[in-house]
This record gives sequence, C-alpha cells and structure tokens, in this order.
Amino acid sequence: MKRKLALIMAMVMVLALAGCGRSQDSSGEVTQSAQESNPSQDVGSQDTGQIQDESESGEEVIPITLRFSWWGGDARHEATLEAIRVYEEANPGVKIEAEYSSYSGYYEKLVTQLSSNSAPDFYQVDQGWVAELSKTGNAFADMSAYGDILDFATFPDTMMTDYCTINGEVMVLPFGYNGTVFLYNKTLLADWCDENGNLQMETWEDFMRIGEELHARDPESYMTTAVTDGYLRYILKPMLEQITEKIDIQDDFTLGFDQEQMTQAFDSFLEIFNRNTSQPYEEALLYDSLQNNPLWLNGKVGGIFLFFSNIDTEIAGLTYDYGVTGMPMFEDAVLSGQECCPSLMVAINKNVDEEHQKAAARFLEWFLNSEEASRILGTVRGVPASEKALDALKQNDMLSDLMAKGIEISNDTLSLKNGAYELNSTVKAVFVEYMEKVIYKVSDPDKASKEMITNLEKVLGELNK
Amino acid sequence: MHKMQEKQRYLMKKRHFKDKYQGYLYISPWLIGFLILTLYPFVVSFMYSFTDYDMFRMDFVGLKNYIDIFTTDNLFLLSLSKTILYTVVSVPLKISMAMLVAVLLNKLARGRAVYYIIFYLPSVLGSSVALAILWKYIFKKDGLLNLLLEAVGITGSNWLGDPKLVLYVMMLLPLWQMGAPMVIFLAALKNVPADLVEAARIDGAGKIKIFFRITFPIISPIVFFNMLMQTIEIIQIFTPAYLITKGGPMKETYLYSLYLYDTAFRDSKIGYASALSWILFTIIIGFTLVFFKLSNKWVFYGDEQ
Repeated sequence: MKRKLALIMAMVMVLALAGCGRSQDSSGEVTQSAQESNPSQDVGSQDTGQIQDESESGEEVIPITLRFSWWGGDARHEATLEAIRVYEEANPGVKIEAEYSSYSGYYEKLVTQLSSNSAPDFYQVDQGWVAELSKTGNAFADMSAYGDILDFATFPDTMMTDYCTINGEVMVLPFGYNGTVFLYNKTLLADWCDENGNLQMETWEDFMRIGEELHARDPESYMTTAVTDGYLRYILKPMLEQITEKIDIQDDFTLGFDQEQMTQAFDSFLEIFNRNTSQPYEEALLYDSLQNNPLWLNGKVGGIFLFFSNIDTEIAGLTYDYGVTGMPMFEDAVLSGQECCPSLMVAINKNVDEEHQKAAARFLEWFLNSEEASRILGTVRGVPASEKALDALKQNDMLSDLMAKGIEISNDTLSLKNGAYELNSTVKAVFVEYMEKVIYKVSDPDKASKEMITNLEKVLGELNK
Repeated sequence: MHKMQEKQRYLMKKRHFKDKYQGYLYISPWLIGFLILTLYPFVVSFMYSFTDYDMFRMDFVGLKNYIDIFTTDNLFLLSLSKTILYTVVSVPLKISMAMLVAVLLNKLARGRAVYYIIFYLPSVLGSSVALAILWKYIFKKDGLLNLLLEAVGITGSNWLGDPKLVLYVMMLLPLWQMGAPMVIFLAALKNVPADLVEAARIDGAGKIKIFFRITFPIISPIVFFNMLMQTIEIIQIFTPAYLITKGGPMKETYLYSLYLYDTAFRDSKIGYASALSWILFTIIIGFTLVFFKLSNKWVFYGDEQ
C-alpha cells in the first residue's frame, strides 16, 4: 500500500514538473504562445501542407498557426491585437499567436530564440539589429521570393535600398518611420512661447537659457529629462552629429568622429546638467520610462525628446497642453542630428517552412498595406512607411495634430541615414559607459573621449570579424 | 518441483531488481531535471568556454577566452572585485542578523509562529520584480525612506542614484532575506542543552559569555553550513542588480553575474561568457576548500577529544 502511494506521488511529481515547465515571466511580458517548442521541431505548426486558396471559397481550409512577436506600449499592443483579431475573422483557419512584451530584454530573447531555432514565424526588429542579425545568415527569410504576395512598391525606394535590402535580398520591411522631435508642455513654458503657443527655441543656447530661467523660477522644474538611453540617443548623439556632420559609426566599422569633436560634444552635453536644464542624472536614471517619472507626470518638465510615434503614449492621461517643435541645433550646424528613419522593421523567420513563410507574407501584406489595417493601427508604429497605409490615415483623419506636426517637422529637417551599427547593443553600451563617466565627473571630457574611442575601436574590430 | 524452484528464483531476482532500482524511479523527476538542466549545461558550458560560440557559429579557440579574461578585460576585474566586496560585507551581516533574531526568538515562550512568518516572508518573495519595485520605491530620492527621514528632520540622500552609496544600499537586500538561515539557526539552538546553559548562569556567567562560550560552539557546525551556503548564493546574485539598478549607476553595482549575462546575451559571446562562469565556479570551489580547512579551527562537532 505504501509503495503504491509512493508510486502515485512520483507520477504526480513528474506531471507537476512537466506542467510547471514554464518559469515565471519577467517584467512586462505577457506571452500567449504555446510552451517553447523543442529546438528540433518545427515551430507552432499545425498545418498539413496545403494553403487555402482564397479565390475558391468552397475549398477546404487547412488550419495554420503563426507566431508573431513585437514590443511596445499598451497602445501598440491593443491596436495590434485588434488587427490580428480582425484578420483572423476574415481568414478562418489562420491563427496568429501574439507574443508581445516591452522593449527591455526583447533583443536578448530574440537572439536566444534564433539560435535555438524557436523564434516566431515573423517578428519585429529594431533597425539597429538588422545588420548584425542578417550577418548570421540564420534569421531573415528573403522576402523578395514573395514578391507576388507582398507589394514592395508602396515603400519609398530609398527606404528599401537604404534599410531593407542587403546584397539584393529583402531582409526586412519597415513598419513605419519615425523622427525625433521635442514635445513640450505649453502650459509650463508659456512664458517662452509666442502668442500662438510656438516655443521660441532654435539653438542649444536657447534651450539651455530657457532651462536656466525655468529652474530659477521654480526649483522643482526642469526643461527636460530622459531615460539613460534617451540622453544618449536624443541629446548626446545629435549634438555629436551636428558637430561632425557624419554618422558616428560608419558602415565600414570606422568612427565618424575624432577625439576633439567628441570632447566638444561632451562639453556641450554637460552644460545641460551644469545649467540645471535637465533633471539631475542620478534622479532621472531610476525611472525606466518617462511614464514612471513623477516630474513628467506632474507637469514639472518643460519637454522631452522622443520619436513622434510615441507622442500619444507619453501624453496619455495627462491634461496639460502640448506642442511639438524640432531639435535644437548649434548655431552653425547644418544637420539636425535627429534620427529619422524606419526604426521598426518586421522580418520573416528563415527557419520556418515555406507554407508558414507564405502565410506570414500574406498577413504582412494586409497588415502593412491595407486601408483596413491602417485604420486599426493608426500611428502606433510611427508613420506608416507604406504609401497606401499613410493615405488611408490621412483620408480618415487619423493623424493627431501633434503627430502630424511632428511628421512635418521631422521631414523638413535634414538628417542622415542611420548607420548599420550605430545602435548595436555593445556599441551603445560603450557610449553609455563614458557618457556616465562624464556626467558623474569621474572622467573629464577629453580623457573620456580618448578612452571611449579606444574602446569603440576594439568593439568594432570584433564586430568586423 | 523444478519449475517451482525456477519460479522462486525468478521472483527473488525480480524482487532484488525492484529493491535495487525502485529508488531511482522515485527520484526520477529530480534526477531527470538534474541531468538535463544542471549536469548537461555544466558539461556543455565547459566545452563552450574553449570556443568562440556566438549563438550562430562555433570555432575552437583553445585557451584564448581565459587568457583574454585575465589580461585584457577591465570589466572582469571590476565586476569580480565588486562582487567579492559585496559578498564579504553582506554575508557576515546576514548571518549575524539571522543569528541575533534566532537567539531572540528562541527566548520567546509563545507566539513564535507569528514571528517566524514575519521574518521568513521576505525570503519567500525571493528576488523578484515585485522586490525590485519595492526597493526602488523605498530608496529612490523621493521614496519612502527619505520621506520618513524628513519627518524627523534629516535630508536623505539619493540612495540608488549616488554611485558612492548604491552598492552599500544593495548590500542590505540579502540582509532583508535572512529568514532562511534564521530558521536553521533556530532549529540548531534547540539542540543546545538547556541544563548546560542553566549551569553556566548559576555559575554567574553573563548572557554574552554564555553565548560565545557555550551556545556558539555548539551550533558552530550550523554557522559553518549557513556561512558556506550563503556565500555560494550571494556571490552569484543576479536579479537585484539586474532589476533594481541594472548594474549602474556607472557600473557601481555591476556584479559578476550581471557582467556574465551581458556578455552572453547582449554581446552574444557565449564562449567567452562560459569561460567567465567557469572562473566563477573555480573561485567558489577554491573558497569552499579553504573554508573547510579553516573550519577545523573553530567548528566544534562535539565528537573530538
């Protein structure tokens, strides 16, 4: 009897172990996908071979399941899930499993999935990862093979050649494009706006001056704040680019700046802290998003730099009056240094079978180019790169005023195409390390520039292998 | 007759077989888990450490990873020294705290269960996201701690944002989770013969003397066990550094395991990271051996002459 009981308990334990296989998900992640599949098996596949022929409605439908992963905020998740629901209704037999999360940790997870052959059928990628991932030869399916399903003509030619096509193969497609703008609180900065509410700010000097005056008037307020990544991408890097008129990491793995230029950029960058224009870095860095930063939520921040696609997310729930303007520039600068490019791309997994790739292509064609999808998705991934989708938005009056203004400003300013390795994670980490050393005054700008350049060259040397 | 003997022999063999291997069946869930999730990665990571595996390609590079780590890697020394400092401070602190609370609770006649629960609860939370949020909430510049300090007129610092303070604030985290060693100490304290303590008290020994001369030697094996286990655990600590400060500011809390994670998953250098993990393993083994040797000096097992 005892033995039988023990045997039963052992069985229960085995079952419990199998059932509790999935460990607790990390922050922000909600996954609706099935348990991570065995590396040797095909992913999420239930199909038995034949594709549904859409022209013959009487044809038997073979079910197929696709996995789609992306990152974003709530607005993007809701809109995308709604789009998926609509597509599934219109295409019975197609089931799309959504795997969405926040940006943090997404890249690490994707790389791990790709290396263990368990990545989703199609997935969102950051423009900065495309070069690195396509080099592995293991991540992206060549979408030009599906030219009969996907309409590439709706995307601007330069966008396709500059960002999507590598060695003649279409690796990724752009969801939309984005640009950096300055979103400001009209109420707080009323004294520095003209009668129409336009912020009178053109140069970095204007920016700092307003910051000083604002902070002097109300010691709790600051002109701007950001997260660590934001300080780098929206302030330091643009400053550098405005000085050098080149992208910082060239595509041939050399640097687009020298020590003197970097020192100059660091010097200007430090001003925003020295002149109380920005919230002290030690305080700002604790918040991983501005939506958690009480200063921003309480309307004590003059404005923030961001991609215009995130405007609606950042002001959600806040009741202040907002305006949009372009990046401040140095007096003699020609380029804005802003990032204006397709930041979010989508790729089809090279390792899934052709049926899944085709089905993914079909979904993407609808998602990217149809009016229906465009109306559901709006601008959650920036301005649609597809001409058809953009037209649909304009016709349906779906661009918010701020967003439309942001697009206009971004398009009007001159900026450079992003380098393939500028946003590489390892490269970014080096930038952040020295940026912080300068902020905390551990290193003076000159010394920091020199060391950073040495470090970057080492990292780029390794990437170049 | 012959058949009966055969049948008996067969049944006996079956019984022997059963007796011998039944145990394995019952521990099979754990055993399978151990083989797949612990032993296999253990062996494979050792192999990886001699390659330049980057999640996609793998080439044998011999000792290159190890040489690079010791000669050209600044972050290795930085993170290792931070981790050792962290361990050296927080482990004794945690053990002492656990001991103190255990001793106090031991004196309690009734109502112990409530205190067990209260002190053990933080350990249950483990190193989770909830913990990270809580810690940030308490220690940020406008957080709970500073609020309380201001109520008594002290201006609190930026506990998590100031590079000089942050590592020490993070050292308090293991301290907060001292429930586990505490419970073990409590059990050990029960084994201290009450009459011995009584006799000492009658002889006029003070509480402290009693503790150090009687109680501590008797529970010293447990102290040894706890110190060893806690050191092994804390030297590998990852989640708080990753979730609360992400190694910042300025890499002040860039613990070894966080460096390992970044190397493996952000930089995709699995081979290099495997070498890092084996170096950590060697350090832990080394420490354990030394600690065992030293233990002869102060651990009293009660069975020596």
